[in-house]
Amino acid sequence: MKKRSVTNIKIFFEGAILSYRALFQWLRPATYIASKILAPLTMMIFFVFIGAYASGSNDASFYVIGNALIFAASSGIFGVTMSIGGERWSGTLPYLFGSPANRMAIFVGRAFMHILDGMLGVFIGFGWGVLLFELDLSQTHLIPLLLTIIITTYSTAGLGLLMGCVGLITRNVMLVNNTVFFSMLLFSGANISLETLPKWMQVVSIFFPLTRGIASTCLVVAGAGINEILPLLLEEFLIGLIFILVGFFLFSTFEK
Amino acid sequence: MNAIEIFNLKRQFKTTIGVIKRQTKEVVAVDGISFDIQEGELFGLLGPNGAGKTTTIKMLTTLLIPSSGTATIMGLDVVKDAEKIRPRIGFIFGGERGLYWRLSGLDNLRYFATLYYVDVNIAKKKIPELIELVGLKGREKEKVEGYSRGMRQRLHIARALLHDPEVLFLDEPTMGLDPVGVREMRMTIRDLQSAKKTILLTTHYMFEADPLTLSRPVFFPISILLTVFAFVGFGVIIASLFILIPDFQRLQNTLEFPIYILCGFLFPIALLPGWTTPISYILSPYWAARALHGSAQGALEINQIYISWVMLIFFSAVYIIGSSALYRLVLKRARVDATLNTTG
Repeated sequence: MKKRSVTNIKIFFEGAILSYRALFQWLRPATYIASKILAPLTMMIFFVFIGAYASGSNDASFYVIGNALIFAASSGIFGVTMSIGGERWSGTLPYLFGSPANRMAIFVGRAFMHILDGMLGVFIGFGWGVLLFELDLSQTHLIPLLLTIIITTYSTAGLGLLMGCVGLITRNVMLVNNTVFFSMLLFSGANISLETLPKWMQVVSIFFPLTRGIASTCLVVAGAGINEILPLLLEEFLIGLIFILVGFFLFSTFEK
Repeated sequence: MNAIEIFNLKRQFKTTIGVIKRQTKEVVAVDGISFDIQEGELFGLLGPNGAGKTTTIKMLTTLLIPSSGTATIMGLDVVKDAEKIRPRIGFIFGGERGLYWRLSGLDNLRYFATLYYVDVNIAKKKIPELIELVGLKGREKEKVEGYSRGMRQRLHIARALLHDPEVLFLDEPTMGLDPVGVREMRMTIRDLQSAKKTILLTTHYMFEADPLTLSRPVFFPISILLTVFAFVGFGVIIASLFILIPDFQRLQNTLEFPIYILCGFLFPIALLPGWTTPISYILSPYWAARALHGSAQGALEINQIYISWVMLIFFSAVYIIGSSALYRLVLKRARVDATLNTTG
């Protein structure tokens, strides 16, 4: 039993690393830099200037934080979806389903590297914010910030796992992914303050991951401690868990 | 004991036609098939595209739930005991997909060994053995995308054998391979059969479905050796006739081509008139030709080849023993004549 658990952990990590290598090795250093550093920068510049122009404010921190976390969502949704969808595309899915391996270890393992990748994206976003938009992190406590980034990246990867499962039965999952991603730009409060949204949109935003992550990050950057953000983080964690469980349920259902 | 038992297995799919007015149509992929496969048996499932071979394999490998009917693998139900069956079976689907192309062959095998809970120490020993078995030694650290189609198929075989399964499902394993690749694949399958694995093989080709064809590399050399024996026997009787019949040389030239024809070396004896058949049956080269064609082209079942070998040996032995008796008789008669001449 113990040996099987150890192997399950191995399936999780080995699957995470190998599937990332197998499906994302086209990312050469140049393409990786372009997708991780340059593309987020242009996106951030776009939303910061649009936001500043629309709100008439000189404080870019709200847009920098929102867009930095959107990079995590991008990695979580697109990366994880491609990771699961890639198994279908490469024809390895029947061999995964036909193996006796623990399904949860296979399924969640696919998200692991993308969570790390997403976290890196957030740090890069913050780096751009400090360098170009005078993001002030002098009041920020490191541990609450790290915790917020980890949990937010995890919850968006949860949505990615659910999307990946949808990819198992649909031919054009990228269409669904793009719709979800752009909805997140709107509903998560990354670029538009939730208070300014109509009531029904505020209700919809509750069901998206990232919403509480962005709110929590804004508080942490402003100097909040762990106690102040704990309820938000718990909710973010829960919503991520719900997406993972629903995704896993679909994964098991589609297997049959 | 039966390794696989299938009874009235059925699988239907629903497909939709049209965009606005959608019509649902039910397609029967597998329509109530039943068969049993014994342990250690190589069983060929033959049929054209769309016959339901792959669907059958998918149901037996627990990837698809049957619409109705039952199927058991080593006594375990494919629906209820799917988790117990998976570690005991291995399967490959034809074609190149199903491998991580950007990983090396070695990494692919390592990962699938983990998925099948193969002990790390056993995997360390087993993976190099399998790489050698499928002829990928020296290329295992290269990315799969650089492999030829045949190499990928062989890597599939190695992957399917990692956990030492009792039952193997091979769905069109020679699909898209060149003749050399096909031959190598057949030899690998033959080796697996020798290792007492139960194999269910699906194919489009009749000669592949015939287990004999897979065993041809063994049958053919034996048939050649026995053909030599058949001609020795036939040669001995011809030599005897030289002794017995004066001026046999002229007769031999006349008989030579009819004998070739009667032996079936030039064309099948089925094309000859019926009355010639009994003559063919008593000629050992006829049985030699039959055994050679049967083992080379997979045209005969195994028991028919055995019969050809037995008949060939029997008639060759009859020729040799008969010629020897005849020779002794002629010698005895010659001695008597010599004695009479001397006394006379």
